[in-house]
Amino acid sequence: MSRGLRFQIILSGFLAATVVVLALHQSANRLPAPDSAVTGPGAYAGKAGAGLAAARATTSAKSRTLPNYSGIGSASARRRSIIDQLRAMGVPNEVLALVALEDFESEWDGRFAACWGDPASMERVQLEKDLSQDAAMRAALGEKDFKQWDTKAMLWEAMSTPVDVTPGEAESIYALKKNLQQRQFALEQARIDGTMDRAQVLAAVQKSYADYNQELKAVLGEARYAKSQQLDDDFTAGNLRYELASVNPSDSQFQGLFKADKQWNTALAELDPGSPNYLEQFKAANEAHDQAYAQILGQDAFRNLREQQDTGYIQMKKYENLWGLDDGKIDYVYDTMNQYRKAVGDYQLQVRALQSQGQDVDWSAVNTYLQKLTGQTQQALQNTVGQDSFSSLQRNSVLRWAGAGFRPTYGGAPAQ
Amino acid sequence: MIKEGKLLSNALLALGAITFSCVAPLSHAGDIQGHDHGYWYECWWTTGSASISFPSAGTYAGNFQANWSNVGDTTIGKGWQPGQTRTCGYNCGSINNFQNFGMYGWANYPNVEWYMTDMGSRGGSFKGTLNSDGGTYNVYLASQGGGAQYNDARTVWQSTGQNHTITMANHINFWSSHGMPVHSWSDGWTYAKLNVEAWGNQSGSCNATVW
Repeated sequence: MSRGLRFQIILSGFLAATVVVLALHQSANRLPAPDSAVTGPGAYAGKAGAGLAAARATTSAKSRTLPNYSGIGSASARRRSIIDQLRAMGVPNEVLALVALEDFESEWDGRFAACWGDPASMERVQLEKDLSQDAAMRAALGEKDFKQWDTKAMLWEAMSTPVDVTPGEAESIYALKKNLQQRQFALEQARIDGTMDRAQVLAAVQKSYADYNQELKAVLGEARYAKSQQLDDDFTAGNLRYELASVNPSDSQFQGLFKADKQWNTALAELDPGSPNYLEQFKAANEAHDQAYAQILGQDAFRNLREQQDTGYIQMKKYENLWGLDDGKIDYVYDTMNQYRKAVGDYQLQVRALQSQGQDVDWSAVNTYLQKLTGQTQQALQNTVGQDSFSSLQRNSVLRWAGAGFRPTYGGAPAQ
Repeated sequence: MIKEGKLLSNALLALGAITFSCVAPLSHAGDIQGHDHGYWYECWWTTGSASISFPSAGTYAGNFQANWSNVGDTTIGKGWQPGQTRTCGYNCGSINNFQNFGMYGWANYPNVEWYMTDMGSRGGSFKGTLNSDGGTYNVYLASQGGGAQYNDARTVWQSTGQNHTITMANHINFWSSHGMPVHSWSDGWTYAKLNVEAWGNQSGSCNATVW
């Protein structure tokens, strides 16, 4: 669906919802709150209640043109009644779905309001809401229209670039998406209930997505899968040409770089994150990729490319005079920050190795060391570029320290 | 127990080009973190000043108020530490003078700073688009100072208001399918928070609630 069409649909939905809400709101202002006997057990006593009251008032005022809601005792039935009336007025299904969804959200506002102060209850209510959404939408729209609307939404999520699919394939993809969704709900339930620990849930989430990717590939075949996920040669080559604009490679260089990228992506895809050698293999794949680039472009052009891909470097060049820098200082900052990151990464590797060997890690010492490393690097930069330039780099976020990324604070009590 | 001296020596070798002297903490920089009403929070900033408070957390446990003034760079938010792959719900009551707002965090092995931005963006090399939670995100890969940065930015900004969601697993799956791995989601060194970031001497505020 084009962005323009989607926008039109959303706008139409918004307008329709606004009309409904305004009508209900204006009528509600004229009436006292509905009594509990009318709303009934289980009915939402907030906005939906007001809506019910409004609907009753509206019915008496304009009984020939607006819906008759008298005797409707649940939010679900009231929603269905509104949708039926709007449908009879010719409102398209996409808009009906948006109205129903908005009403469903409003219905749950009351449930959330009762537990805002309790994160554990919030999690449960959120999951309960997620689990009930399909049933509520199905009840509001009817099976056929629900399926049509939901299938469109699922296919839109499944494919970054839409590809042609047969009705049977669309049905299969829909089933895959719904299955993935149900698996996520089940894992969330397990996490909340404590029947799976955090690491188990995370691993299971990763596996369910990996399975889903494979199943989607089986439905679409390699070519359409790649296109739908924007992994095809046309898309990736277009991106690469854009990225390489600053070094203006020849055709043969471009082909070589494109091949290196494909090999790199293949190597990364084949890595097993659970493997104890993962990090070494990841590092090796990156180094092989960089070596191929340097060999094809030459060291100077490769360095130039990397500089042009570094947002900090670009900022330094742009504000070179304003920040009191020169080419030498910029190179020094760029090289120093790369070395700093590498040192931090290597340190992580060593800590990781100790962990995997079952050794206790003194996190306080790790933190102290990282702070020291950061402090020393900052001091070295200040000494070389001067305090004013250093402050400019800091203020403008050119220097991003690893500190925020290293949080071995197991001593706390993280919320689960 | 980490052999700190040995590791430090190794790192110093890697940083051989740098002349080290005494450690000098930056003036005005800070990093405050802790737990509030069952959530982890962090307020990090370089220069200027920044703060996080929880004026309505007694009623809305995930609520936080962020304020910053003349700030070099700041990331302020509330969420979970260690990071969790979850469907995050949030409300954003008010926000002004900021660069980006959404889910944010770090992962290690390899080092990755990641953004799932619903308002604002950061940019980088375009990697593709992701459809999730009713919106389309442009996905960028950037590097800064040698670290990787994954920047997902919603093409049509989410509005302030109620009941927005960010399904983190959808983003992570896209990254891993496009050569942007996040290895350590089960590792304790990661966090995820509903976050506002501002830089460039801006002053502003944000009031939001995560769950």
